[in-house]
Amino acid sequence: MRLALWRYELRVLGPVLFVVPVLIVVGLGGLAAVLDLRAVNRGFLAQLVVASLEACLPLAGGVTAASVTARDPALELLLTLPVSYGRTAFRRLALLLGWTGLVALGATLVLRAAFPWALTPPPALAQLIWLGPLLCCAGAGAWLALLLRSGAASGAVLGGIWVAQLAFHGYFAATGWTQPWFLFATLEGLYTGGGTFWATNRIDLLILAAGLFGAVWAYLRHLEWRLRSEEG
Amino acid sequence: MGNSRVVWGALRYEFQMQVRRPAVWVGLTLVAAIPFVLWQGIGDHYLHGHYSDRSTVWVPAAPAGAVLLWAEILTFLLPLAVGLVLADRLARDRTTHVAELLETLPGALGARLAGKYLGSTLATLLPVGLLYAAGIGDILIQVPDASMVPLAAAAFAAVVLPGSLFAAGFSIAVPAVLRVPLYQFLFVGYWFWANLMSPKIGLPSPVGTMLNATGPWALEGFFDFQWTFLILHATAAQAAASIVLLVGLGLLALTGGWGYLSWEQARR
Repeated sequence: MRLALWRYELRVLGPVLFVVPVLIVVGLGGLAAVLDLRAVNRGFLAQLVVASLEACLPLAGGVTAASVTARDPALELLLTLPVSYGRTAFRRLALLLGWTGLVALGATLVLRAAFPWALTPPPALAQLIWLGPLLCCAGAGAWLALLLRSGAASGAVLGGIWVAQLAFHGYFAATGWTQPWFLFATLEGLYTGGGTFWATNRIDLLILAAGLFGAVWAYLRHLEWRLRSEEG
Repeated sequence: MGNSRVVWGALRYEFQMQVRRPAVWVGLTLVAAIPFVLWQGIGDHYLHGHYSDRSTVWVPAAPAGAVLLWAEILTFLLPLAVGLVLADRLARDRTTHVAELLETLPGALGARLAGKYLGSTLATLLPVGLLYAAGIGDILIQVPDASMVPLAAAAFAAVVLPGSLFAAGFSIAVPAVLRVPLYQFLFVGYWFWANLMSPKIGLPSPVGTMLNATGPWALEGFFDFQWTFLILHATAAQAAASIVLLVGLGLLALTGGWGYLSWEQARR
């Protein structure tokens, strides 16, 4: 019964959302491998490998989490069931993020073996490259989608923050109040050759992600808020 | 029913629907807050004068620079947000089954799509214009100078608007083929890669070409203002060509979306 439930949730979400993380790591990892064969600068290749894990996977996780949380065509029906809607929504988020995390975990190990000079931290620590950013983006995407009642608007805010942090990385890395929620500390370390705040930044991101998912859970407990559904 | 009436009808309804969405207003305001904070740090130099980075030479205040910098920094992000909030317009018609209902009416698909593009884009440009004006208002409060108003209007038309129309054309059309979250992911990645990625990184990108939608050609060609990391030596003709190219590509994407939807409709 329990397995059937997860299987149905998989079908509700659709296969496309699960293919995206695989395409990202295969596409960018493959590109890095081809460029490495052509003896392209290794500094650039390291940035490409880290960007696929630290920037691209979290963005995909955030945008899909926003879309999954914002809309449910059978919401009214789900709210009449004895199982709380919050649990259903979190089950879907767990499926998406669990899969993305699994892909990221595998990709980190494979990319670390293929490009040891690009991913220098030991395997366990290397997982922190993507874990904090992914959970933060997904938590922010889901929370904004509920708050704004629109997956598209949530994606817009998330996309704006993502592009701003990449384009103005120097500002976000050097300013005290932006450092704790700066998503790309590993990339910044590669770019500047430094990275003094990496460890604290990773912990800050995990704490922030816990807060964001807590806010999502709190919102979903108030069913009358959720019933307002997405506006046209 | 004449096509122009269908376009007008779709435009009116799409405008009203989009302009009443609080998510559009709140979402765009949140995104605009980022360039506003960044601009506060740099724009101050233009407003009140500063010492040159390389020497102790005093550079006097230049309010025109502050206006153009605001247009530049806002265009880094706001057209992207315009595109992303418009990405669900076509998908919405399918989810609510309005698309099937509209197919039974005599109005042509192309006219409906044109009305959707015009109406929802105009409605989204309303908060964009107001947010832009708020930044200009902040400049005028600090340095009252009425001659900055026509400059601000020209910079909006030449820098902010073409990028927004480019993003809007793709965001209305492409979700006909791709799911909205997948499109949003690809569009965000494209925006950074094609418009803001520094050539120092080493990845080939159209950032230095006329396809850059954040307005480097217009800023240099029309206003003699250098965009962040590009020195283009652009002429006014090149600036105009870049604007025509961006708006034209947006319309081309819309035409492509129309072609795909017509083919899909004919296949059913």
